[in-house]
Amino acid sequence: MRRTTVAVITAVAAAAALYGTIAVAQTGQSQSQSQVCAACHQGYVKSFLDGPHGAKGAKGSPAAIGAECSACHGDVSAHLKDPTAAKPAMLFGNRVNATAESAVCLTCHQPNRQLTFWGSGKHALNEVSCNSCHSVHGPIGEGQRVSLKDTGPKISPFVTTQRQLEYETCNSCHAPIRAQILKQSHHPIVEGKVTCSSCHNPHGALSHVMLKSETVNDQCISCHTEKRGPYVFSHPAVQENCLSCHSPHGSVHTKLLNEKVPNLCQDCHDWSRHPGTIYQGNNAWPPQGNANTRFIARSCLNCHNAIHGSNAPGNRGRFLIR
Amino acid sequence: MNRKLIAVLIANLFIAPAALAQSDFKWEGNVGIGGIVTDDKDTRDRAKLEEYQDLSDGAAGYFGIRGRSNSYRLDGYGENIGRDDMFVAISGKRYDAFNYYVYGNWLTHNYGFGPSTRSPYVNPGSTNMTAPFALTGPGALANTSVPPWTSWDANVERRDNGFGFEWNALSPWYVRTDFNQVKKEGNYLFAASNGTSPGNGFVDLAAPIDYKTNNLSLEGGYASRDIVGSLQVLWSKFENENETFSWTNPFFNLGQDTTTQAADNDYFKISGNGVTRNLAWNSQISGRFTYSTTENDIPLLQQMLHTGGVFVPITANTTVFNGDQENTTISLAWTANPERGWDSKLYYNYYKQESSSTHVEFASTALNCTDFSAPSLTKPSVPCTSEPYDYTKNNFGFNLYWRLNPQNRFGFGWDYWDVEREGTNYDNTDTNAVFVEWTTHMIPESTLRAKYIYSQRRSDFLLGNAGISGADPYFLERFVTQFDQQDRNQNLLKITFDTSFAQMVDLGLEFVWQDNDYDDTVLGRTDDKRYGIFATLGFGDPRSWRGSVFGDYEKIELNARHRYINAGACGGAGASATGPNCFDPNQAPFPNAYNWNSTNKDDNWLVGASLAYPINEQLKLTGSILYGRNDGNADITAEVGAPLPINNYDTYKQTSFNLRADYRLNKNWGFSGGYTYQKYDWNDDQYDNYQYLAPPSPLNTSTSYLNGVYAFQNYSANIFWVIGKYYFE
Repeated sequence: MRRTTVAVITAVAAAAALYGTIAVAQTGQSQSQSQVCAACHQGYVKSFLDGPHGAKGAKGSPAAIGAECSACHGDVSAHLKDPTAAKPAMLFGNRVNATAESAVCLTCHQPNRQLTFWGSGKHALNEVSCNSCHSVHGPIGEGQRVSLKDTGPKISPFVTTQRQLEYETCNSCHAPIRAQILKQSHHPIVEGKVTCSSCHNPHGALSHVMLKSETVNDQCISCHTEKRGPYVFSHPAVQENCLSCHSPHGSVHTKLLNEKVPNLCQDCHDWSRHPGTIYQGNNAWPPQGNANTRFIARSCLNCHNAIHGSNAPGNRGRFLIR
Repeated sequence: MNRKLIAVLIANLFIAPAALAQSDFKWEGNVGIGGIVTDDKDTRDRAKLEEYQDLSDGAAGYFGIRGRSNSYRLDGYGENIGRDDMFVAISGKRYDAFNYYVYGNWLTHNYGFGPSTRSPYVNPGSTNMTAPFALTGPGALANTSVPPWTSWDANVERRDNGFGFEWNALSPWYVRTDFNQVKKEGNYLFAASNGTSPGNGFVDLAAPIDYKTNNLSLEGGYASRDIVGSLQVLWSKFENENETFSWTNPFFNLGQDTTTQAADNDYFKISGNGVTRNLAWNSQISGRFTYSTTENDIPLLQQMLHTGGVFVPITANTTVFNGDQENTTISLAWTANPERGWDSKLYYNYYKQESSSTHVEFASTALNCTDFSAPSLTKPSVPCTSEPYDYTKNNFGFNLYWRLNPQNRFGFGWDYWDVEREGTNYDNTDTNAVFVEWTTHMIPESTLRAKYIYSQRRSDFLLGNAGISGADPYFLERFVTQFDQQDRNQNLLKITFDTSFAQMVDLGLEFVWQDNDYDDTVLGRTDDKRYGIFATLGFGDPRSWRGSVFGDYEKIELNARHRYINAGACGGAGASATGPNCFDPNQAPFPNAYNWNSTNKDDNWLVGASLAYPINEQLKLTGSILYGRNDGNADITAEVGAPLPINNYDTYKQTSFNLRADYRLNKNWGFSGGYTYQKYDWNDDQYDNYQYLAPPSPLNTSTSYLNGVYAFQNYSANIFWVIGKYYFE
């Protein structure tokens, strides 16, 4: 964030706070800035006071420094003089000025641990601002600790959770991910058991696609610890990247697989006998076919069940069948 | 409820009195009780309906609590209390002093319910599964009368409970600790081959699952506006109560065979972050390093069941496998805004994985491996050996963005990967990728963004000279490539358009096209294509009624080429080849060896709509409908013969219709209730007309025994629910 912008905003906020005090003195009434603004913006002020920004006990909060509204919205003097003629210096939701919008929040929140890598992250570089996802004036949704943008009534299969869920906010930009998580095989994201931030850090990370871990495999095995190994016999494709076989957001195929087995396996394994055999329509269950055990049910995994690695001895382990 | 969670929740309540003592501390919240009834009369197995949720008829508890003062803050929420998908989270803080959280997040992953899920074994899910009947013939259990088989539920309960505490009274210094325990218990579908050949059949097995993972991390750091530095240490221990389980093998004369599961492991990770901001050119430097070790000690099985029900000894060079893997990463980034309108980022990432695990050699006449690389047509039998998988990856690149004017911004970037590996067919891979991007706001109240990425991967293939001739099985390896590492050219185009063209209306459109061409592939995946269109329309006044509509379409196509080789005519793997160059895909096809192609396709689309309408200040109605469909199939062509296509590969239709009413009777009482109709129809050639026994046939010499898991996914359900809440403040 530009130092100049920080300095300007800080100076403006301080000036606005001072003006607020002067205005109070001039009116002869003991009103805080938020009380003045509440005359027209009662809903916004109430939501502000309900949140951490309105906590006077929080050092440096807008309420604590007496600049409840101007701390974020900048110089409000002209707006107070004639609300219809002038807007506050900073209004949020401007498509063009995402960096400036984030700069306001970072004036105070830059030291936050969660924002360590904000400046290096994809959201900042792609001009996604804090208020793209967060809403200071919005209600805190059911089951949430911070206010996320409400994107309207949910569209999903039946879920037992009553909570507002993270993915609803993320999907407002990441529409292809919406399509993935609503496929028949999916991580329990719509059910509220896994969140986008379970794997990604939306506030910035040095990793690709802002994963919380350094690599895809590190991220996956942080929950799927039984896959950590080390195994006596490993499967190199598993060691390289879980995404070679799986689509973590969702897939039309069971177990989040990118492709049906046996075809997925045959894309790497071609050999005489059954690895290279054509598994086709007449290998299905009768009456359609002859119930070839290498095709029906889980296909290759009917025998090669230890697909992520095996600790069995000899060729039992080498071929991942025990 | 988990005892540990209860204890932590009770302890949490003692933190509250300090907050309560504050005269300005205000509480508000609610407690409630609800119930759910699910009518699924046409559903044979409701595991798919309840895949991650508890839809059993019954009651559930709810609570929500918020405490606020100028110094303290407390939030608590709980839902589905008393049910398998319970969620509880309590968090609080004293500003500029500390913050904490405690949670419990439970689910049961359901795969199949009895009696549709059933096993020929007496005690499925135990560590020693036995079959009650004698053999009737080679490799066939007499237990072929399916109705008396033992019913079992294929599901795993996952209980994740944890807490965290951070002390930041001496800000910018802070320390924190996080702990969680994940327990997984239940039965999961495994399977195992019966004999020594694919045609000998297989058995489905109800594997006992009893996992526990404890994670503890400590972190300390300094976080100010200009400088951040932190150090974190993580300990994670995975424990499995059942590292092996045994089962009666019908092919091996009813002897007890053994399947291995994941072994206990210990994971240790130390990581550090550092950021320095407000440097020259309005820049910052960010860095992160991590070092982790994964270790285990696995006593190796000393014998395995084999033909005739005989236990063959395993002669290994060690009795214990000491697993030891180290991972090291370093990430650096320099981001700068050198001039107004310019954003830039330079980055470097380093990844290293190194295995120091025991090199194990298993010598066993019956369980040996084959050395296909031997320079002869006759392949010798050799001990099976473990192979480490190591890599070193260097990645660097830059992103550069230039804002031409307030309406237009351009981006350009380059990314390079250099990968060196041990333990695969590719020891070195280079990948170059470039992107260009344009973002414009020239259309009022709109944003148009277009991004194109071209990526080229080139790999050194180690088996280019494999084998001695087309009669040598190993010769085939020259032509078999693995798509995750082989040469590839990728084109990726993304176009998004967002507009608020009218008051109270937002429209979003996105188009994605991706084409991966696996260069020069002879055998393996040759290319894959995917494109999708995603549209979203939101409308309404956020202060009152709101609605949205969306439509998504995706088409995915994966193409591959393979070679069929008749082992009998061509000598097979390990024997002297007698066929004419069977293992050379460039040779003219003949009935015992020829090439074939497959195209796997998925056409997936999804439409949905929702509307939330407040009837008055007390009553709000919400409705939504969702319909999704996938048409999956595979086309197959061959140089010899006319293979039949696979008409249904995860072809499904899903429908969900939801109605909800929220009624606030008065200040203290509120009620919510709803109805859902949900239907799922699924067809798949691998499961349609499913049978529990796959009998001997020209392709299978022995009977296979299946358990019914994943086989009966179709469901139709009516779900009714209601919650009554008491609000207080």
